[in-house]
Amino acid sequence: MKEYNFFLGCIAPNRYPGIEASAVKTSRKFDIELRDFKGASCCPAPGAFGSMDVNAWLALGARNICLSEKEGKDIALICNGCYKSLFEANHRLKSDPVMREKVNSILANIDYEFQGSVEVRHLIDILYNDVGPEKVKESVEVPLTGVNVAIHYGCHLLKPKFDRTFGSSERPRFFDELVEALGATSIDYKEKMMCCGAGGGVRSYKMDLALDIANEKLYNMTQANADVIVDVCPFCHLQLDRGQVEIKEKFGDVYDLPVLHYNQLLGLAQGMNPDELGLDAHEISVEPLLAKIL
Amino acid sequence: MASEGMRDPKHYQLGKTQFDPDLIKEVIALGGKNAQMCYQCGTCTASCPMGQRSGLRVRTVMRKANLGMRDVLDDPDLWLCTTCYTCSDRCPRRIMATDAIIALRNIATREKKVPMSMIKIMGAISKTGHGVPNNEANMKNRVKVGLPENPPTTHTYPEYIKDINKILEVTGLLKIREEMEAESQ
Repeated sequence: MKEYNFFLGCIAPNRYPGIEASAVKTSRKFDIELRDFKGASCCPAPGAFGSMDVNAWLALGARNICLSEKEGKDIALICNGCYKSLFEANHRLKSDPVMREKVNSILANIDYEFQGSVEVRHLIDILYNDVGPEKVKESVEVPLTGVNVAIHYGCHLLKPKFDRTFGSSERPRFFDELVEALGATSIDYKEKMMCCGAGGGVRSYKMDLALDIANEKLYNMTQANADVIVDVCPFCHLQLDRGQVEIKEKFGDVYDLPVLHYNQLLGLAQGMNPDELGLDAHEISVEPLLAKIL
Repeated sequence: MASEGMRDPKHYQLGKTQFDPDLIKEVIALGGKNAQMCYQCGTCTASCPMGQRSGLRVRTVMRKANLGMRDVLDDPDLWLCTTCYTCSDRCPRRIMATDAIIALRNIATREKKVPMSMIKIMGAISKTGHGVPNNEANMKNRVKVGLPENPPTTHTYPEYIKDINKILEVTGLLKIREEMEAESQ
């Protein structure tokens, strides 16, 4: 069994607890234990915090990494924003001695020191590269045959590509393979790789513009006959789920397109009950999807 | 050296616009890798999802940064970038334009030109450790899926929050927040 410190971030535990619960439950099927990560905080939010002070952003991210270093555990996480903060902080501080010294001089004020002794992994990376689509397929009890999935990779999982390990940020395939391993169909849609619109602090700064981007994505997904949006980022998830309610209020456009985090979709395919996956806490009803599957 | 003389900002005054040759150096020092290499092809602006629906023009931002036009720091559109990094991934000069924008935002923050929406997120982190803190409705949803009311983060262990505030203090962010909050009262 492989154990990771499970870095939760903010939006999964504090808005969509089903994402947190489903990650823990589905990982156990692959002998992966996501354990409590005591004292972790916000990653902190890369768009908002990095925009105010890059060094403070790195130091706050490094504080979280240092906590895990003390326990000798690699970090697993389920949010692209957290991934940007912690993967990049870990990568930059390991590879750039000048940056490391600068950040360690900040951390010295709280008696912490970045060692560079652990890895930061997105769970989708672990599922694809360590577990593999074949084993994911073997865990399926309820194949999602006939379900059209509009995949939303989210920006910070893949970009900037030179600071990542996934290769192409224009036409990636690994997430599609993991969705198809569940028996579902990953559909192509216009501007599939476009941003959800929420990042960079824009959702809280100019919500109308953030939603306008989400609206275009939702339209394109609907045009391609999507039954469900599947993401790997709780912030994209919030933007695409709650965003549909806001878009209806502000612009009058209605989609009623269910939104699931990959771990929730995986949970359904592994035969878990929708309630234990927290699907009833979503703004947009997941019932039409469940009717198609169950 | 003649080139040294040309670096004096007064040589770069056009009308009322001041040109600060140090601006691009600051941008690069704060992470705007290769920003001085921009040859204004416009791939960034053409790739930008926000540029299609707003006044944000990444190419213009890059030009102003390179010319040292500090008025770019007052542009409210500077804060419209969602940091999707599409421009950076497509840049033929491998310029991290997104990081250049983030660097300009850092400089603007020091000049207290940061939107209050950002300051509010800092306030939440400073108080709870979370940019998006827990609430009562969510606590019930957590219990329903078999989780404790609060996650095992700073919400359960608030004794860790003081370290976060220490980092905010030594990097000068706490002071910026206090001053801006006082001014907005």
